[in-house]
Amino acid sequence: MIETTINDRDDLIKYLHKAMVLEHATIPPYLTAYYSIHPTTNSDAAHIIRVVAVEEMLHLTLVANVLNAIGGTPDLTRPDFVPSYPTYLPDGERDFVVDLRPFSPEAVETFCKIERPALAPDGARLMPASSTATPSLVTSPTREEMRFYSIGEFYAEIIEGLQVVAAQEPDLFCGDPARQVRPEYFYSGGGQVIVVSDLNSALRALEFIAEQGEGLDGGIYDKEEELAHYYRFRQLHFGRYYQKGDSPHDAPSGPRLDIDWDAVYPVKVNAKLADYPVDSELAQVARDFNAEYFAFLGLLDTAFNGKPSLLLDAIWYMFRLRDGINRIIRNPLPGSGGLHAAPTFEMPTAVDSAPGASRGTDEAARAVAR
Amino acid sequence: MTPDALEDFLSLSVDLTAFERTDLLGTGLARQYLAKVRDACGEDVVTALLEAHRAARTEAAEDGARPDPQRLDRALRHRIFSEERLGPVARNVIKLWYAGTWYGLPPEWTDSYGAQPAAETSTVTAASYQEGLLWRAIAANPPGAKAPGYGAWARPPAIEDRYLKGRSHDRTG
Amino acid sequence: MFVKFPEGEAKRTDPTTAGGVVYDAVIVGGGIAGALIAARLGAAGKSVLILDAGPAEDLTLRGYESYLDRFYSATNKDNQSPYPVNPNAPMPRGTDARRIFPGVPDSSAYIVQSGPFATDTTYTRVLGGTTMHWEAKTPRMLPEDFQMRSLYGEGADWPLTYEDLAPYYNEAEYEIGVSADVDDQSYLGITFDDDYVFPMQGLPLSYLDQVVARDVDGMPVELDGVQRELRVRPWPQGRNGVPNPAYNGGEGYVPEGAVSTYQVEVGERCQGNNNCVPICPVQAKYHAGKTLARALQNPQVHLVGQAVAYKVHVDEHTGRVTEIEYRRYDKPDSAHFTTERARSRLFVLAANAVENPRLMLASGLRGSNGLMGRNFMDHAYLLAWARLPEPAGTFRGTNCTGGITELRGGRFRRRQAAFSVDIHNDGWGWARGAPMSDLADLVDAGGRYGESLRQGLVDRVSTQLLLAFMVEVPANPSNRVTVDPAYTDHLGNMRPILTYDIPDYTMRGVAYARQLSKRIFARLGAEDHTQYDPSFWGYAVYGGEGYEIRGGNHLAGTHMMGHDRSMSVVDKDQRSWDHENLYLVGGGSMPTVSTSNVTLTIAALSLRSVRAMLDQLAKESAPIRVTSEARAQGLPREVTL
Ligand SMILES: Cc1cc2nc3c(=O)[nH]c(=O)nc-3n(C[C@H](O)[C@H](O)[C@H](O)COP(=O)(O)OP(=O)(O)OC[C@H]3O[C@@H](n4cnc5c(N)ncnc54)[C@H](O)[C@@H]3O)c2cc1C
Ligand code: SF4
Repeated sequence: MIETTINDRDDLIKYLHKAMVLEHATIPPYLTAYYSIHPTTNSDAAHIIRVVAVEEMLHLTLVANVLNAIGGTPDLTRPDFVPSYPTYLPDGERDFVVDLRPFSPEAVETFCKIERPALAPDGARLMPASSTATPSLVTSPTREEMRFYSIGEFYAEIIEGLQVVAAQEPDLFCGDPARQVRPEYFYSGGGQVIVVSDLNSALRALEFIAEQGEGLDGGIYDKEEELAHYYRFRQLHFGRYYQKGDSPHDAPSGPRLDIDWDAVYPVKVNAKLADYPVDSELAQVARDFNAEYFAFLGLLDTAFNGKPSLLLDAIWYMFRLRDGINRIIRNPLPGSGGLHAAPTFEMPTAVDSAPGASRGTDEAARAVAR
Repeated sequence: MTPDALEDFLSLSVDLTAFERTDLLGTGLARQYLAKVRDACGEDVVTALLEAHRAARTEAAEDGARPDPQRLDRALRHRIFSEERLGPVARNVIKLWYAGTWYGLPPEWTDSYGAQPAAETSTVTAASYQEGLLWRAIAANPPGAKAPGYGAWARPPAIEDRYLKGRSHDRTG
Repeated sequence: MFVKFPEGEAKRTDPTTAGGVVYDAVIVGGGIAGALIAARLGAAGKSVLILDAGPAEDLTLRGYESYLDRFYSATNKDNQSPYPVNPNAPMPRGTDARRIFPGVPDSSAYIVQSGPFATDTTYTRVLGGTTMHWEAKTPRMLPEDFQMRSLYGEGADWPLTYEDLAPYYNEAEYEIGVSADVDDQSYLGITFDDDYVFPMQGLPLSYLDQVVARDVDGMPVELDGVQRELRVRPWPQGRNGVPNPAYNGGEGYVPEGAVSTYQVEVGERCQGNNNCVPICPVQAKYHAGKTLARALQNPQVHLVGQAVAYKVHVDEHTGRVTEIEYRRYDKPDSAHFTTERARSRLFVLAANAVENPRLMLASGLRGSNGLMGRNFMDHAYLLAWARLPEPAGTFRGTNCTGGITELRGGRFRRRQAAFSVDIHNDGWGWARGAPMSDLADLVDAGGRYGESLRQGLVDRVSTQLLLAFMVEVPANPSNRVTVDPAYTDHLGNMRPILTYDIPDYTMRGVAYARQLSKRIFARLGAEDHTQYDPSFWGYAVYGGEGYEIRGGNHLAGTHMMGHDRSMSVVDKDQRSWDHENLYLVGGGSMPTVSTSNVTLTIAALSLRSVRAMLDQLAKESAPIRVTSEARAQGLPREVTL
């Protein structure tokens, strides 16, 4: 076994910050694929992606709880919190990039890779970062030269580090309990929020995240008997649901699942504001969306920093963002040869978010103020 | 369907609905709606309606500037809303955008201009009901879709200020 | 968090094979009453066969979404619009109601209405029953509602008290998953156990409710010499809210999700879709499919769908039910069926307060006292609508979050009917088809378009306020369900014939409600737009004034329970006085409807009856004789049970 890269509370905090970046980084790709699906079509696929996206929100919340429990300060507003797509995953997986792309076999392929089980080729959790890797996306936040094969391994490292540090620092869990998000504030399909107050609950929270992503001990279900994300996406690949008794090595044997790859808006992959016609109404709508999206992250940030009840408001925000994404995606993107527009998830510049820049931001600002 | 007709249809619809082009395209239904009007009223009527709208805009614009709202209103009333053949169709286009439903044209209309096979009241697609602009106009969601989230109903409706005309409610709620 | 419906279960049980088995219980109807009883009997190790008239399809998310799509695509979005028309198990539809002219029954729709009062009351015949499209308000009954005759000389007394039912209310609130706060719900004698909390916290009042509350809270009302102050109060709701961590002594409560054969994550917290009736798109609202799926997870519980009960067979000598004969249609769109039979030690009719007596009467079982089908009750709804001075917003939230309950009880019930008041979050929709009617009016008659249309919609729709007064109707033997061989459906089942009139007692409450609505509107500075149309099918004149009265969908009374076998059809366990192994369950057993939506009480009664059923199953070992038809099939003459 290789030597741990987490030696003290600071290391842990760095890792947990990175975990939040990581959990969030998967959300824009899932949302883009989900909302590219034509309304009232592809129900099976839409549900699968939607739920995974909601559960990534749960994971984000769980990491925030662990981070708060050890006295850290979640930060969702710093400039590098949202990656610029295409991107590598922040844990350093380098054999694939994550795009914002419409629902397609390629998208499903990427989703499977994002959620793939912890099975590093040579059994090593940490691997040397390849020389071609972009340096900005570091892997281990404490060892620049190391990276992880999968999210599972990344969490395994944190779990191990947490145990090491907890043994050394008896007052590791010194966070203010009032900063914890409780189950009342967030419940979704799979799993409940775990309140973190000690090593035990911290481990449960982190293990839950890892299991929900990739399954438990190589099985396809997690402890709650929910299908792990990886296998949910595999169902899209096979066009069939898994059922109890299926093994990870075989194709699923449950009910059929219908996919219509054509009932999808052909959105431009990794669209940027620069792709939009300058000064167009559409560009303004895309800028407004970004402003709302970052305001949403700001709200989450406040919620995770002592105002957990704001998570209820954050849900309204998500629903409003949904309407915004839908509106953008259904607009053709002029000059793109028939492709459609897509939200760009770029951090607004001062000019974009100037008050009264448009009706949209005005509404958003008012909604926050209330 | 020529792209020009779609552009003209959008331009007409912006004036009829007071929603922006991106909002209309954002329903994902502009094409289907144009096709629906064609199927229900016939190609000639649609062409005449789009032409009348172009003419109204030209009439309302002084020397190629943006049309003056008051003059445009008058031109639309004279050229479209009061027109025997075009008036009912234009009103139906408004309702189509707002409700997502094509309402059957009044019998006087079909008596004079003939009934097309697709003329009866119908929803265009299952999605069209959800995309009705009516719901956005009153800051609500179409019942059964686009939910606003738990408890959002306890806050005042996010109706745009310009429609509240000072009757603005206590926003501190 | 989903509720697994065992895959293939809806078709697994072969009716003919099942006909050769003697179950512990056969239950007719897989609505909330039937499903709860099936789940409990199954859990107690009993074998159960459920017969349901609805299509024999597994409950899946995909199937549910086909309901939704049908709803989205329907041009008329009435209560039944999500559910396919099924001529083999027809359902009444709100749009069926026609004005009835004296002496001419209206037989144009499934329920034959002989009047004099026409009703648009409905129910649904699909797996899960009418809760598929209920609104899910779940108030408890008041203690005084159980003693109407002795306290106020109106209607009937129950053989049970509030205290008898209270523990089962707790259980029913668990099974349905009710969101409410004890403080809000403790009024007019409703009490709770000391440390009781509801499974989930109460839903917040809508902004509209809050605007109304600003003026209505504290409004004095004097009635029958008693002074009271009105207040806007949240309704308890059978929909997922915020789980109460203090539930069950700190155990907490885990909400129940959507039903499907495969894993789905739908059915979480209510999102304010404002579409609880006719269908909640996300299954945040409870429906009995959830309970049914859980019941069927037990291998002892079987289901045969597309099974329309046709006749209850009774042993002439013992009065015991021997079997239920049913018609199993091949497909919803074909009239071809096979005749099947189901046998068991106990029989439970849970097909609702119209279908239960219909089936009994069609079987020639009028009851030794002739009361079967009599005392039909429902709520009478009176609507009053007005325009608020400011836009408070409509079509937001659940259909209804708040109401006024102070006039649910009191001494005045000696003279006139009590009522509860709903503040509707969907504007004048129920009364006048808002907002589509406003849109059509603004565009077609008002010449509005563009900005002036948007302005007009805010002015007209966002200011709407509609109060719905749910007025009690006491039991009256001449309000009744009957059958007549002249009226049958596709499968040859006799259709229900409804004879229904609104008594003066109720009309006095209606008239008072209208007066109160005017006072409330005046206090709000709202413009009263209420106008009752004399050509409306439910138009009723009282004291020189006309009112539009609508049906309440709260069917009750047709097999009333009582202390005395000469005055009632079932005992307090809902067991038939005439047929000792037969239970008729549901709203039909209720001696009063009073002012609470009936389903929570139906659930509590069902849960209570399970105990009696289990006792009876444990006690009875007497052999019963099977009917001659069974003999002809070569089945054993005697079955020792
Ligand atoms: C629009 C609307 C709103 C409502 N809102 C509320 C509310 O807010 N609160 C409230 O408390 N109540 C409400 N109700 C009433 C509530 O839905 C019913 O009280 C409740 O569903 C009754 O349950 P049940 O199990 O007794 O009967 P049902 O739900 O009607 O179930 C009967 C079952 O029996 C089956 N069946 C019928 N006939 C036969 C036959 N011959 N053979 C075999 N099977 C048969 C049916 O398919 C069905 O599954 C509402 C009803 C409607 C229509
Ligand atoms: S308001 Fe919406 S989400 Fe809530 S129960 Fe009703 S339909 Fe379902």
